[in-house]
Amino acid sequence: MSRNLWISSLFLFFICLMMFSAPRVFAQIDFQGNGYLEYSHDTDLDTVYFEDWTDIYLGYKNWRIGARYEFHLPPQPYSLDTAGQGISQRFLEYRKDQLIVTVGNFYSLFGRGLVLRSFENRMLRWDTNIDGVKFDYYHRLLDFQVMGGRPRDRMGRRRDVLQGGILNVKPWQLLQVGSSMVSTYLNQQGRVYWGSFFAGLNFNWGNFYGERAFKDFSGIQPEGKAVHLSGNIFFGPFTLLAEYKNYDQYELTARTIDKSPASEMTYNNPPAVYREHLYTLMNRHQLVQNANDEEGYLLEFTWSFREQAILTLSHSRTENHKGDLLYREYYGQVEWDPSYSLDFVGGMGQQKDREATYLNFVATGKKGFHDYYSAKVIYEHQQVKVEYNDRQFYNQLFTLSLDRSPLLTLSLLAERTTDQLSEKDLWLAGQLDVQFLENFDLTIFGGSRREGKVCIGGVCVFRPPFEGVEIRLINRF
Amino acid sequence: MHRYSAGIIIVLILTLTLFGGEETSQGKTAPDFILKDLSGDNYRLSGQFGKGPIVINFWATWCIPCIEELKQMKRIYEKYESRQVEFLAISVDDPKTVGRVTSFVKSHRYPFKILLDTNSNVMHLYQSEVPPYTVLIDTTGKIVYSHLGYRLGDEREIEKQLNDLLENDANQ
Repeated sequence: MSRNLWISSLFLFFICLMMFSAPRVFAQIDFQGNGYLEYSHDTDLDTVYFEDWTDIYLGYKNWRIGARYEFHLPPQPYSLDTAGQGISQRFLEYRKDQLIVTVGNFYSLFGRGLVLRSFENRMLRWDTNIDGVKFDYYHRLLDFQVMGGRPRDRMGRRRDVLQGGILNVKPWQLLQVGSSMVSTYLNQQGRVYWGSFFAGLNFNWGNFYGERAFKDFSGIQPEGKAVHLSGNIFFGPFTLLAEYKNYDQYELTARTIDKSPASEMTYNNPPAVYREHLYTLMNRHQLVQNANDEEGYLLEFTWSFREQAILTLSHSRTENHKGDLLYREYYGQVEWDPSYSLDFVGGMGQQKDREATYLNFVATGKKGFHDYYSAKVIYEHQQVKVEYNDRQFYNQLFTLSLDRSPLLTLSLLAERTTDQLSEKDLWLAGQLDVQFLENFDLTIFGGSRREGKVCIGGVCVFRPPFEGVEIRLINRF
Repeated sequence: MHRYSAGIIIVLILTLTLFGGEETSQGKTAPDFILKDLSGDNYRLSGQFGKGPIVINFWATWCIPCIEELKQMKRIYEKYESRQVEFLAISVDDPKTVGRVTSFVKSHRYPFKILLDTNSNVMHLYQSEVPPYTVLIDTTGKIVYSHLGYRLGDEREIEKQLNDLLENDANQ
């Protein structure tokens, strides 16, 4: 029996022990956990993917411990994890008043992510947790974090040791200022540093945030900088959002800083500064963030012109430092909710990246009936013109969902393209979402799904085409 | 061999969860957290314990069902705001979209307290990976209800649970 299987068995024993003994014997111990199981069978490739993440937590007074068991047998093709199983995370946490001390695996974010962001997004198979020690302290006037540890790259390796901290001071109600710093030691070149200064202003009529990041990799890499500015202004029914970015040689990648082979992780994850769409086709443009060479802005205006109606106008533009256009978008949208059980959204816009120009149209409608039932329709249309050969085609995506609250949703999904270079022109699928026994959520997907970029919260991965069955079970206990 | 052993482990975990679920899903202590609000002030959950029920809703500007649920949350808030119920709408927008939160909230005129969980640490603390996710906490700080996802009508269960909690509080 492999070592991993022994560890898994011990973990299971631990779960059994806590599950049955904690509530009865140790009434003061809080036991919580969650599971996420995903099974899929790609009938085209005749391949099975089978993955699971199970977290358990035990809390006693100021103490909390947790562990995660994972298996990937094998992982999805867009994941860079290798096949295997075992305990992937464990931590011990102590909380006392405003102080939190964590030993083991944790996630960390400094400012807006220009300097450091380690995080997990399971839908994207992204997990860059840090294994080390972290101190957090919160006070009305200031808070800070000091941390040290080894971040995980997307292939599961932990090579660099990071040390860093962030200090945030709020001397007045209107103003907060702060600074962050991270360093690591490279075998050949010695210690390198990067960090930032940031400030925020809050008024009744608006708020503003600015962060300026720098790095010192003397003699190893060219000087780099990153600037991010963000502001919101409100006046009556109007709001205006403005964001600016200027990233120059500021993609901080594990071990690439000493010119060893590139791994698949960046320490930082600065804001993208373009509109993240709610609809699938408009998120398939080809702009991939490059923090080494990007400058751009986003402007977004909203007008609540009736009690239940909102107009949104948005424009964003990204260029490299030579002035070449990387991405540009104009978008307008109207939301209208005439009643509790009825709402509509209509939007249209134009996007342009280095590959193509896209003309988009989206319309959605939702109607509730008999208290617990509702039906929703989403239609997306995208006209595409490829720049280098003038090829033109269109994509259509149609989704029909029927809900019965709180138990189930039945969805039908259809996508069509007239792109002659595409191997298929029609993708059809059905999906059933069921909730049962309070804490279980089951999703069954059957059919085909087109390849494409999937973005959640600004982070994107490319998912290959899929045809087959996918089952996902989420539970909390 | 690996797949076989993993299968056994999963079956056992699910079995344990099924049998243990009834006992463990009720009455767990709500984990304490400190998050920043839109003004940059720290908000600590445990400071609210003992004052009344707490509704926590995790959402994001990029999540369609979250936006649909927030509309209903606004309606529930207006119904219960005078009854010492604390509504916390915790945005899990990450650094790439967190700049949009304030203008989104203002344009939709959401009246409840907005907190920022920019790295989703608190959502994970409450056992969820994705929004929308709603948790109801009683006056003593125990979790009495949690719900993942949103379908039109789900808010009726939240109202029912809130009415039960308020009735219990009134009887004590």
